[in-house]
Amino acid sequence: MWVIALFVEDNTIAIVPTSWVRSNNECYWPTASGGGEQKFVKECTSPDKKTWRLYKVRILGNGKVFDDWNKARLKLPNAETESDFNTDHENNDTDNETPRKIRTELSQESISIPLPEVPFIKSCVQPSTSAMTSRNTELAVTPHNRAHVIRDLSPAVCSSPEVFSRNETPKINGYNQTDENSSIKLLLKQLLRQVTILNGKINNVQDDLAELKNKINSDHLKDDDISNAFEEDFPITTSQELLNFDKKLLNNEYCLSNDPNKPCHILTFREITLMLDCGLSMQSVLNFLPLSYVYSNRLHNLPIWLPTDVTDSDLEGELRENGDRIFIDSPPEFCPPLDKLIDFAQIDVILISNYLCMMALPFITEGTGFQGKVYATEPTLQIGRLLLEELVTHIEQCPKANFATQWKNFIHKLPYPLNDSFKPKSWKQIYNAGNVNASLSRIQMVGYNEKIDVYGALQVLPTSSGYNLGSSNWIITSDHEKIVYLSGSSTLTTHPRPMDHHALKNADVLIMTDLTQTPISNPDSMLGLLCVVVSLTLRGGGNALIPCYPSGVIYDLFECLSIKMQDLGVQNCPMFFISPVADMSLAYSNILAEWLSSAKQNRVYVPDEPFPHALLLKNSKLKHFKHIYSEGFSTDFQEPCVVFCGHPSLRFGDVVQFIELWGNNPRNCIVFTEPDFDYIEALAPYQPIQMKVAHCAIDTSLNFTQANKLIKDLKPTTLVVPECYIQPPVSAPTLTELVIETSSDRTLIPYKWGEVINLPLKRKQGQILMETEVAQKINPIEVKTGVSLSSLTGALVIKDNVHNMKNHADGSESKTQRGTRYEWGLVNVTEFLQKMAQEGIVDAKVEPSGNGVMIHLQDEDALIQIEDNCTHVLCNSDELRLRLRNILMQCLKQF
Amino acid sequence: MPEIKITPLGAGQDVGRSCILLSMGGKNIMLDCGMHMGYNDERRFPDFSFISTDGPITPYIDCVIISHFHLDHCGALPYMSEMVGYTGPIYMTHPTKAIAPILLEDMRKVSVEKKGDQNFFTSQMIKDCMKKVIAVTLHQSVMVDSELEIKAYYAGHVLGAAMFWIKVGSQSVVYTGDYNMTPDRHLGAAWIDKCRPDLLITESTYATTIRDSKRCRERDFLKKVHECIDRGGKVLIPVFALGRAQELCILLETYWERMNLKVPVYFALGLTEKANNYYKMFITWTNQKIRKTFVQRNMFDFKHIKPFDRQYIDNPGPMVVFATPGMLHAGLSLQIFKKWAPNENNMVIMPGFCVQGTVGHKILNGAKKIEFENRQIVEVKMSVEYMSFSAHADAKGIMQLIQYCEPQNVMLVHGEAAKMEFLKNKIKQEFNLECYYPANGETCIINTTVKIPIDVSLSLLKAESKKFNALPPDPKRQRTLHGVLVMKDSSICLMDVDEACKEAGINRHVIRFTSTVHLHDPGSSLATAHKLHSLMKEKLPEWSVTFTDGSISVESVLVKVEGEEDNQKSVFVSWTNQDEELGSYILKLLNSMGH
Repeated sequence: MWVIALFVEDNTIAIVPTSWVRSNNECYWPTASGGGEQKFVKECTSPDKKTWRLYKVRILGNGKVFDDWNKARLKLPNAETESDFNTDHENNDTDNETPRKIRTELSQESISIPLPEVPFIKSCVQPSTSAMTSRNTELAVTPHNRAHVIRDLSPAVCSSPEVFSRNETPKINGYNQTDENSSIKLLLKQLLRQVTILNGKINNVQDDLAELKNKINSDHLKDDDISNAFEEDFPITTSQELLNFDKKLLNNEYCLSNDPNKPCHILTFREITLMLDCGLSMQSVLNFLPLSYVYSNRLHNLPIWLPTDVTDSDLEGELRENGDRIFIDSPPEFCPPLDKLIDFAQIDVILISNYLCMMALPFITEGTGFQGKVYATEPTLQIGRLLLEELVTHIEQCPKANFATQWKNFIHKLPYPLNDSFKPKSWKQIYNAGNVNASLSRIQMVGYNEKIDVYGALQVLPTSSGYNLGSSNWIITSDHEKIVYLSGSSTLTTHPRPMDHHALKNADVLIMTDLTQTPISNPDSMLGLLCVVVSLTLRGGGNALIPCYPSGVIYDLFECLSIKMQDLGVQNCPMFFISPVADMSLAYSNILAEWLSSAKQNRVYVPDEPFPHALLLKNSKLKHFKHIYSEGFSTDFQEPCVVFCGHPSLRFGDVVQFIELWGNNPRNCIVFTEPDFDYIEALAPYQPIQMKVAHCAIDTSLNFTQANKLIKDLKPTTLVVPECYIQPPVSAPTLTELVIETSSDRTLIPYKWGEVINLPLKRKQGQILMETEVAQKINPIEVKTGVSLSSLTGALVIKDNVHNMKNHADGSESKTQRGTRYEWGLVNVTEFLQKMAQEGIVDAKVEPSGNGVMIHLQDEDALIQIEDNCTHVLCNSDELRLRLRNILMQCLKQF
Repeated sequence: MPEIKITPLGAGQDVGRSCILLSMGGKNIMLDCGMHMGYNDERRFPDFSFISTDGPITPYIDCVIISHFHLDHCGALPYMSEMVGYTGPIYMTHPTKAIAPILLEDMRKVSVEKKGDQNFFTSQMIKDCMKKVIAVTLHQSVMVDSELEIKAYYAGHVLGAAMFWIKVGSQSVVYTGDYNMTPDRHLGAAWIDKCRPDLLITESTYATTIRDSKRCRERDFLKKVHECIDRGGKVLIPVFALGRAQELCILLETYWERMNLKVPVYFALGLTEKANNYYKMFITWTNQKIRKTFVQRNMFDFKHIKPFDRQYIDNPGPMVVFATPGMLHAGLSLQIFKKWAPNENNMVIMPGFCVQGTVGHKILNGAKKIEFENRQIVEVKMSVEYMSFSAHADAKGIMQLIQYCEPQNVMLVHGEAAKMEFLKNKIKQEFNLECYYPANGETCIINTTVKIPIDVSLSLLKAESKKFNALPPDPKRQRTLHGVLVMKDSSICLMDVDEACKEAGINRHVIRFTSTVHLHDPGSSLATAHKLHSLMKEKLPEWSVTFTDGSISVESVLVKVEGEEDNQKSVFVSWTNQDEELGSYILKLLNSMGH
């Protein structure tokens, strides 16, 4: 007995067994089974009141009860638009305009569309495509959308429950139909339901996994053989996708950052999840108004901007206009690596290659359930701390009352580049100092070439990359595989330790990212240009403003600039380094001798400070202050001068004040050295500006020529690079030499943001440590020239993922395959018969049979069937059988 | 049985001229190359003729490792490399590389210019020797050649002191040099991970001492200094330029500041000042607290401590002077001692260990009159105090280190024989480890178990794991790995028999036996099969007996029942030659049932 019910929550209708309906307006519906409702419905399975959820329903058709499911089914399509199916037409005044979707029934079209099978795991009752599809039909707003959503279902199950929301934005943007709002709401609801269902399933699976993992940990196992055991142990109704996914799980890589210079990758290898770098793309801050700690009349009076047809009062004041650019009047927001692809709590290890690639660390480790380990070199940690602290201080010292949020709802109506900005809904406010400290306290300091064991399964090792103080490339190895992660490397000679090529050679996979952002210019000539520009500006009585990070190239700038200023006779102009961490940066640079180039290192042996800025400080040529308002700055300040200060985006930090101060004087000059931000974009909120602008971006990391040369030298089997490196840069599409070359010697795999790539690494061999006692049992038999075989048995002891082979403890050996040997070769029948005759067995009757011969011993009624690869002895007398066995063994070779 | 051979050329049941030869896996390594402060003749250097009686020793030594810059650990280095002849690599940490040449030069001056020694190494030799040095950082794996790997760990004893882990093949040794397990005012505590070496060579200077808490010793020290200056006495503290000097300076500096004392504190000009600069530069090697505060205030910028001038020796009134060297065997400290010793108001505080033969050792043993080479006799009336500030591990610390790294064997060096004996028994008792303490020139051979790394096919491992997991869990059950070792070219790989045959390119020949047993058992053949199944399960508890499609299988043994619904059943038992034992056992079992 069935009725047709309208589910009020999501406005869907379904046939339900009467036994499921409770008190006329509530009804059970199977939860989290992910399918099979059909079967439940058809068979009127009694509801499981513990796990099934109650839904608010309205029984349609005046509570008409169908005694035949098929009849109910026929009525169902009508019920979509009618609430009473006894009459043919009824006015729909009480009901809404929204067409109802069928909750359970299969519509004919949806069957005809081939849908990928979703893998069902454990708790599913009846894994069938149709059952799942019936759920999916709810999504079938348009065929286009359905295809879109369903295509993403399987990775959703695989990687993370929230993956659905990844598709939210594009769908909504692409969805422009008349009943937009309600449909979108419906769609969203459905999506949320799907998410809930999948979440439920994933929870089940994760529980199981956790249980298994516990078991495994207690057994000191964590290895591939276990993953194999997983496959066996799970009651998985295996679908091809799931198997594929399992394989993928063992060994794949995905990229979470859309900026190749602020990389963030996930690598899964031998069941270990590694995060390679966690760079924070700061391009988003360019859309915000600069933060100034003194009231800026100009910024404050910028005209308010509103989209043409929007009168929303909420948006009022959030957007301001300067020139043709729109800025958000709010504390800046950042675009952290997306957590939609992976649950950060699952990450075992984070490897950081240099201090510029760790700005997103607090977003990843804090408040996400992250429990893994973070490895970085000492300078990376120390200077990284300075960068993080500077960023936090810069933003926190200019608190803003209002946080603009409404503009995100009108993205598509905003002008370029805001409408094109990358996932603004995921943008976040900066972390606080507490998060920075907590996050950094997780970092374990490592030295170059220090071998770090990761759960016995992998070994990771940082080598010098020559890019900045403590920068490293990471080598990830297992017994037989080698993956090299190359990020931020430099072959130029500056202050850091030179790059170590040797260790990177002959990798199975080379992941290469963070190449130069200024592929056209040469850092040396840029440095020269900068020195000239600054000196000339000073000579002309103007001031030079250099926005920069508080560490890195700045050390070389101090050195070169002071020399050039001497040459051009402006050595008396002071240099000011203003940063909340200026003192720390200068002090640290002089105690990290072990991480410096040998020229700088040798100065320490004298003992002298490795960097000349120590001397500049002593001579008061260089002065440092925490802030522009710090005590003593106003007394020491004299013009003309050179000021180094942050932040290079020109959106916060002391640089904002200096532009306000010097921007109107054409004698002054602002020199851009950091390549992270486009200088025109950076200056946009200050336009019109009078001061001269020089662009001398210095990026010492590998350019394409150097990178290609390096790749040739390193000879990787597979090369993995961001997609943008295989096309000429957008800024110079004609320069086709600015790409990573392809070659037949290696496989090139490009990747883009959010993509999962399967690395072509197939593990075939593991390693085992054999103890001497076991080795003594080896009895090699040469079966061919140069090839020896020996059967071998030992006790296997697995501890911390290391396999050891020992001798069996006494007593347990008897029933093992100790001493088992194997026969090989062909049995020469004539020889066999001769030997039998010698033993007194003469009644053999030989007949050809199949590929070999059949020997019949008539007296004993024994049969011996001899073929090329096998011999079968059928014999009931044990005595004779053993004799035959002996003879056979004499005729065969053994190992 | 593979072995590790160790021969101490110095520091065997002795303190001073540490030099230990280590041979393992065909590699020869020299650990430290020190000199003995107590001798002025040829005995001050290790006896390198043990390695080679004539000519350079380069062909016999693969590398030299220096643990820290104290002269009893590196003092013979220029002699060894330039005069005996060695051109191979020398490894030490960055601070050691920076400071060692200065101490060597200082010692050279004292020996040659003051004592007029002949045949001593020259300044140029020190420079040439340092060119052979390769600096290492902590925890960095250094491949000396394709087989020999070394790694440094923090040892805490002095700035840049390191313990070294040395590995050849699967054998490994840890050499501690001098180390300190308790953090002090400027250095951290030694640390090592659980590297489980075959042998731990540890110093045992304080093998029998368990030192009281550091705080008490510091208070004691300050009290004694304060009492002495209160009665108008002069305090002489002989120290080595680097190490204790800095710790005691920090201690006095803070005390002077707190108590607002005005009495002058001096340190000998030159060395120590330069040394402080090194400390400033290598601040990453000091302890956490100093590293944290160095930007605001560098602990090694002293306010109250001023450089010493020789003329101050005769100044009236109280003062505190730090002077080198630490064992009163030469130099300024001895000069001051000679002047101040006859006055009972004065005091000398020996903050560290003194080797036999030095003036320091003599006065610590209560000598009241010291006779010098030129027949000058000095009466010692000043009070002599010994405060163990030497940053060596005490017995507790040594035991702690053994616990940290879990060695298979322990060797004691750099200590006195009687104390070593005591510690040996303690180690034996507590950890049940073999413990050695060879004398100089005595070779000690230690047998080790060697593990040979071989490749293994993953499918073999997976099959084993599947089989193991199929059985009910039993913590006592041993896992068994059985396969065929394929030795081809230079690779060795363990694999499944079929894989192995394929790899070797040969055909395996499988021999199978089948016997029939007739049973009288009414009922269906399936019922009989079930009965047999339960019987076999009972008789073969250690095997996984499976029942599929009416046939029973154990390993390669197959049992099948045939026959109609009458009494007579034919039971076929079939097995491969490899399971002969099991197959014939099951056959017998079934036969016994039939009768």
